[in-house]
Amino acid sequence: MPAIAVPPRTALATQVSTPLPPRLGASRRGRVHSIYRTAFNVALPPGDLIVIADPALGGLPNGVLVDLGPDHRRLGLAPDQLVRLDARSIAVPATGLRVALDAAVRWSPRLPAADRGAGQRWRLRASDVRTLVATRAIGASDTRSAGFGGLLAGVQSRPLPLHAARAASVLDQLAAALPGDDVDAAGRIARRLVGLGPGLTPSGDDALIGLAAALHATGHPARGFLGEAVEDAPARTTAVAATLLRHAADGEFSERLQRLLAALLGDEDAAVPPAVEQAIAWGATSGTDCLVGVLFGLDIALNTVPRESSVAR
Amino acid sequence: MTAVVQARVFRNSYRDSVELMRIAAELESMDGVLRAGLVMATSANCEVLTEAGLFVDSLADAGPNDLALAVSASDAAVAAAALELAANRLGGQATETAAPAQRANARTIAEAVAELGKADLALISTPGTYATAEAMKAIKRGLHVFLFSDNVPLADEIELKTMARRKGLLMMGPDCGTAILDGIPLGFANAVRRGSVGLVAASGTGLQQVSCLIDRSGAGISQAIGVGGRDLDERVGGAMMLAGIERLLADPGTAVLVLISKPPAESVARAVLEVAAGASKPVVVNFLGGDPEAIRSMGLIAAPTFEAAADAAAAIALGRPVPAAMDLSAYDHEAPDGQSLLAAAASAASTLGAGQWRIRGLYSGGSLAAEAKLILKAVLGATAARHEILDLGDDEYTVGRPHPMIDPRLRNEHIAAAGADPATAVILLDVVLGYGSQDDPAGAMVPAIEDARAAAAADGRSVAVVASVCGTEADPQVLSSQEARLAGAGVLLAPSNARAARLAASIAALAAVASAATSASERTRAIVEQAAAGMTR
Repeated sequence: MPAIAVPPRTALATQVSTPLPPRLGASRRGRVHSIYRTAFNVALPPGDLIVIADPALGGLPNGVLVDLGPDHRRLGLAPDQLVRLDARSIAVPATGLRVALDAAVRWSPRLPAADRGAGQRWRLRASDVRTLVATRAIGASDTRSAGFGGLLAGVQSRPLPLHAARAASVLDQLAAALPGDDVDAAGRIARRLVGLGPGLTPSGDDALIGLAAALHATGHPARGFLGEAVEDAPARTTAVAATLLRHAADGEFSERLQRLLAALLGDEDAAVPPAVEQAIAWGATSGTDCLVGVLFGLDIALNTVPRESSVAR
Repeated sequence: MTAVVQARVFRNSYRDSVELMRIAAELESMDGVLRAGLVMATSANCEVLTEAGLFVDSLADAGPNDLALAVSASDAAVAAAALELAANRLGGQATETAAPAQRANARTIAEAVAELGKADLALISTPGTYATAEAMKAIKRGLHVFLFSDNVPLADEIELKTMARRKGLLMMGPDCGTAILDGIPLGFANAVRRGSVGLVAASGTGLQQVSCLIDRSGAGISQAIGVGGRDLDERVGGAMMLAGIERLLADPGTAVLVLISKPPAESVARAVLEVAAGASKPVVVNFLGGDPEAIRSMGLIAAPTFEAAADAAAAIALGRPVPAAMDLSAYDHEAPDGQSLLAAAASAASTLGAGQWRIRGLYSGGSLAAEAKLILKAVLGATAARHEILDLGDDEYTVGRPHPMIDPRLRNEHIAAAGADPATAVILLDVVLGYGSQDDPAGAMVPAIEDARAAAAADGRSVAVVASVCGTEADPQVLSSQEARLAGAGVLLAPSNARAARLAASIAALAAVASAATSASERTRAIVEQAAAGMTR
């Protein structure tokens, strides 16, 4: 058959997560795992997933940001293609694509702990934020409430979808376990959220990541609960979600989650509404689901559980 | 009302959530659909599906990276329709809301079919590993398939052809490079006149040669169906050859059939010949190198060469008497244009030196090379093995290089080497025109031929170059102008590959006869005497 020459192209990554290059080391081999419009994943044995994403997605704990055009599905990538990785580049020989990491900005996925004033600020704005979130969640398309959106206080939609009702019950139990600092018990309860709900990253996983982020940002003693919950995550949820859960258990989160928490706990009131709106816009329901977890976590950590409990349905 | 629940699993499915949400919403808005669950089959979600009454056995072995689709509906038909809709949406994406200035090109078969409105054929050329899946998608959608890809496993070919047979579809390939359907050329095909001859071919260049020669004689092609090189293997059973025959027999536009293949496995040959023998239309069978008696005994027309097949079919189509069956080694002293092949051979042979004896066949078409080898064997007998016929399109030459029909460089290198070799008597070439070939194959070859001649001349030798051009006047390269270019470079032209091979064999045979001669004049005398005697052994 006639051979078709593939012109090689090198793209310069703009940002890379700090733990990544050392993990790639001198030379690793992986396989293309899955391809989406704005990103593609590379499976790196023994169980890692690296994501190469459009810069608009913001920093990701397992990610490299690079501009590869408007649609990653048009790069000639296909599942199972060999990928060569090292600290300086990621290459897919079958497509001639090479992403150079040298010039990329190093970004840390660790969540900075909020300063002492955060608790006070949050107490002052918590109920306004809840109202805002509920309003935005209703205002957004119907599909937004298909995840855990129905759990947000004030969102009156159809009867809660089954997975959301189940999540509500788990969150109630967590609300009891977390303040006692019983990390193991909390972990066992939280495990029931893993893999629960619709989406490529199931709602339960997004909520757990949001919850963990809130506990890390506020320095809560039980913030290590997620480790216990996600030990067998690869068997209980999708590969993509399992990777993000593992990073969250290690205290590593996405840039947009970092920004959300910085806004919610920061001293600029005006920064809060846009941060919330942007968060709700993540994925299909990932943003809303994550927000459910974040709000829940902040309430627990900073003692702002509303009189009308958002999960008492 | 009892709700009906049906479910389907999509393994290792990686769709983004926005897409999944949209599909789920679409399902739930369908009339008669009560509930729909479209979730990754994690254990947590399977529990929820169970609670919702949506869990069925078919979901039992799904894993967290599989997509589970479950629908509860008012009746089975609605449930099935909902699953089908979702499967179609998942097979490709609904056109996204792109910016107005952008127009997304179809990325999947599903999208393409949606865009075209009515498609009935998919032409697939992807690396072998992915080809099967794509071909399967196409067949499932009711499309015929033209599968250009090679390196597709035999088991996959069998599965695809079985599926296609069941649905009454054509599964042309894998490794099918040529077809002409409803007058539309696919792959490496020529612009041939439409007419009443239908071809079914397991050989690409065989199909090209036969169709071009039919065109040359004034007849035309109704359909030319390629079946892929492996179709007549015992394990594939000639599935598409049989399907093609069926189609042509039922086609009102086809009056005569031609079957083209290297000799099939015995069981397959029997099956094919039996079907052909019972046919209501005349069938010409060209099993290259096969036993003509077996074919004739079934009342079919046996054609030992592509040219003979074309001649017989064209004669039938034009209502003329079918020429007597030609043997591979038969000489035809008079070419249609009046030029005696023997005379041309004699005059070429007399220019050669004593040490020149070898034929160097440098081919771009595999079947044409195979035909040449057969003819050499028939004409020259045991000594045929000393000559060299190379199929430069074969895998060993094309790893990392374009095919010689597309890129002339590899063959030109060989032409130069042949000219430089003092033992070379004849260089034998095929020049294939058509939509898949380069713009000017003759033009690309002439400089190399001239250089080869010059190199030989510098050594006091001349070299005979023999070629046939497989093409038509309507081809982009235009047959007559390609032939003129070659003739201008001193190339001896034959109207078909079979005649070119015979011409080359004759030159070599006559040169051999003269090798014992001790002077140039003795040499010439020996050649002319031999030629006049019409014997070549």
